[in-house]
Amino acid sequence: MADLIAALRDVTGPDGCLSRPEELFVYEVDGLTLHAARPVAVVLPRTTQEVVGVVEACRAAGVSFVPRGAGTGLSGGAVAAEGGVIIECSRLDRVLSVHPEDRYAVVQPGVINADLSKAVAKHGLFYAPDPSSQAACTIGGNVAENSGGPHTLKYGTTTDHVLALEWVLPNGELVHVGSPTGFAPSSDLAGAVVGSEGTLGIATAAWVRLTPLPERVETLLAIFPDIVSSCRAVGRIIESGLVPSALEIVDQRTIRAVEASVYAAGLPVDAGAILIVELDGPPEGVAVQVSRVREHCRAAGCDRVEVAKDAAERQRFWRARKGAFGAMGRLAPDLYVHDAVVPRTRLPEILERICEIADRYGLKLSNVFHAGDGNLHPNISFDRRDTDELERVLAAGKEILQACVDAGGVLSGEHGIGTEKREYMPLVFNDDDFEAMLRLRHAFDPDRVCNPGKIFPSTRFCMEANPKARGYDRVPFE
Amino acid sequence: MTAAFEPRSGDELAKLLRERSAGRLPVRVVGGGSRSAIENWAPPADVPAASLSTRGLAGIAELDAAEGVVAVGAGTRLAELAAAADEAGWELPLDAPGTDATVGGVLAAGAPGPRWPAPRAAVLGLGVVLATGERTKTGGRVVKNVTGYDLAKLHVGSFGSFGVIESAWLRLRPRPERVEVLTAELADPESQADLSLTFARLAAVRVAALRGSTLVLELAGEDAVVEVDRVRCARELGAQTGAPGLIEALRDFAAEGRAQGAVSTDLQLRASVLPSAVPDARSVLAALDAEVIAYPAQGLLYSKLPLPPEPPLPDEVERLLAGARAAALSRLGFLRIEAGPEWVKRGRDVFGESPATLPLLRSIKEQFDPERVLNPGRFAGAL
Repeated sequence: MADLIAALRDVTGPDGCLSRPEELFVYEVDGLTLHAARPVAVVLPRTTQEVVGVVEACRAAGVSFVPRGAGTGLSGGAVAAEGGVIIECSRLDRVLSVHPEDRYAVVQPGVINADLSKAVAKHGLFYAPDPSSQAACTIGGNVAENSGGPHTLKYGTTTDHVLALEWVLPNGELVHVGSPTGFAPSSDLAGAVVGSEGTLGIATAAWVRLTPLPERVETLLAIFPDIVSSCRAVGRIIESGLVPSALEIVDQRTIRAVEASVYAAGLPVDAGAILIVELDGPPEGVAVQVSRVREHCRAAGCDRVEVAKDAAERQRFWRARKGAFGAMGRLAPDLYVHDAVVPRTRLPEILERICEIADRYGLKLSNVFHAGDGNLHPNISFDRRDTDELERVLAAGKEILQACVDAGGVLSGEHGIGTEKREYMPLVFNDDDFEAMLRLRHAFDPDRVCNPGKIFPSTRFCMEANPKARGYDRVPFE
Repeated sequence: MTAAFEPRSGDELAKLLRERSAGRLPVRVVGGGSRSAIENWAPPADVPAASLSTRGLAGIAELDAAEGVVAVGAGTRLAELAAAADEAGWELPLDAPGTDATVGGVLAAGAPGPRWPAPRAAVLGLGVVLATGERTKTGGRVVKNVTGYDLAKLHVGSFGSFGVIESAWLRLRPRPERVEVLTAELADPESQADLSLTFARLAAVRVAALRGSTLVLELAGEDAVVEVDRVRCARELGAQTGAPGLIEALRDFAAEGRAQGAVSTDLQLRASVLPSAVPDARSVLAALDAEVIAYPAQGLLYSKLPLPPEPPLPDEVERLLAGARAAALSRLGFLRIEAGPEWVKRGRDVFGESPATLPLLRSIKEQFDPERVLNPGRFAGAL
């Protein structure tokens, strides 16, 4: 290993390679703190060529590598699950060029999501995907995870905003996929690698779409007696053909946690749930939409609807939503943030089912989620030092996912599979489906050196190495 | 006479492909046939490819009107699905040309239409049968999903090179409250393209196409928003209400004279450039005496060039195709030959893909279709 570290230092310089235990400690986890693994080294390349050099050094030493952005991911994707080298892209942090006329920008992967929107605001443009961690998370990480956020309902997720990528293949070769025009001459390879969770290579530059800032934004806060009626309002809004830019539900437990915290927004603590609706676009259209949304909320049984008077009040409404995860710290030392998707019409019944599961396991559940996309975030507050509680958290989590899949849903809407949910993948996919995914994996990474141990269930590790060799009876690599 | 297959179920399709792969017997996958002309020329093979039609896999399995999603068989005609969506109060966001166009064909070809230039945006999930006979699914019926690789992106636009699309979950779009078609004559050739781009980017404009000196616009959305932009177009461009069927005429320009089996005698090109490069691209094509339709906001240009009855190609057309290759290498656009006589296609890659991308495409092909039975020689790089 000393040889590898020397080789990595040759590539990145002495300050670009961390290898002391106390330096590596902080890289053992990402936003999912339950799954820890220590990398053998962490490198911080400054250029595309350094990334290539690092990949070549790892290959020469027969060691796997894992790309990492800010480490805010919630599925363990940026953890060196099998003890390889972490390639952290935070020093590749420049906006390389902005093209307002053609509405795109070229950025390095370490550019922070929110900083990109700030950098292009003077052109009347913004970068639309807005994960809750946007003040810290990076574009490279967003590309790996196909990140979403509250405003994807109208604007789409990362994949809809990535036009082209400079991409280091797992064999160290540098390629370009996609085009800033948004159209590929043949296969859409940029589309195929976005959301591949760092298993198909490393983005070293991204051509991203910029979107015109809306002329008018209106934010509504609808207060409901219970969560089911707020879900009904969401169903009515979607079915009517309205496309708000955001439709977010916050439940009572979350409201109370927020109101007791520094994020307090003056929300009614006796409300069963609140629905935040954001509408944007030309003023004439937004005015019509506001009155229609009010009507749908009323018909679904809401107590009252407030419309933000100004930007300050809008921020107050959003503080309740975006500060929710921070406020959960008041409930328990640990928080398990789940991420599943169901058809929007099934929201009321699925929420009842999730509450029933949490009650049965005696767990503290709260819900704050992207209702318009059917993207649930059932959050379980717990204390990991209580091993019995931790077991119940994991068992309830699996039941919740099973319920969502049974309702026609999927395991993840925006957090990814990583190490967190790979064992649950067979709930959704069969061996033939895995076979198709593994063929793509093999086309890009035949030697399984790029972020191994993610997405595919461990019983299929042998499959990950060789898609033709199937069978559950085989012993996993570990 | 080559064999022709039309499986009636996914299982039949899977069985057929398994046999074809085992026997190394190629197939040529066809939907409605409207995009059949988009293919590389290949020398006659020892074993001619059998025709494999997906039209037997037709039917709407489920249309969820509350959710705005639909599950549909690949062989379903686009027109039939669009009518069903409309009846349920939604709009199908696919409008590729060709009266026989099928859902599977349009997705496999990634065929854009004037209103919906990116078919991939409509796809939530796909059922795909691999060349080796596995029936697989990717994605799902929900509108947001990062569960596993997004293989739908790989298949949409790959012309059946990596698998045969059997079914799809599609996202429908709300039907607009009001739709207006306008036309305006833009007299000054110098400013036509720039002016078109400005108006293409108004909030209610969803189609803006420049055909000769005529700008065709379709406005759609809430009544009040459409009205604001309609008034502006009338005031600043002198735009007037257009005749019915104008948008469909734009759409069908990209597939005219391409009934299945027909051989084009002119050269039909699709160029993709950045919006800022549209004026230059238009001038280049106009200098070749081409008929051009340009979509400035998408940077898409469809053109038809007259050709001599036999080789050689005029020098200026040769230069255009050579220049396009340089553009593809720089990734700032491409030029695809969508139809043309065999003598033009020979010795060229009609897709206009960058040679730098071909090794990766070949690796994918080797994994997904190891016996090269799906459309051999047809796609970019003669995969």
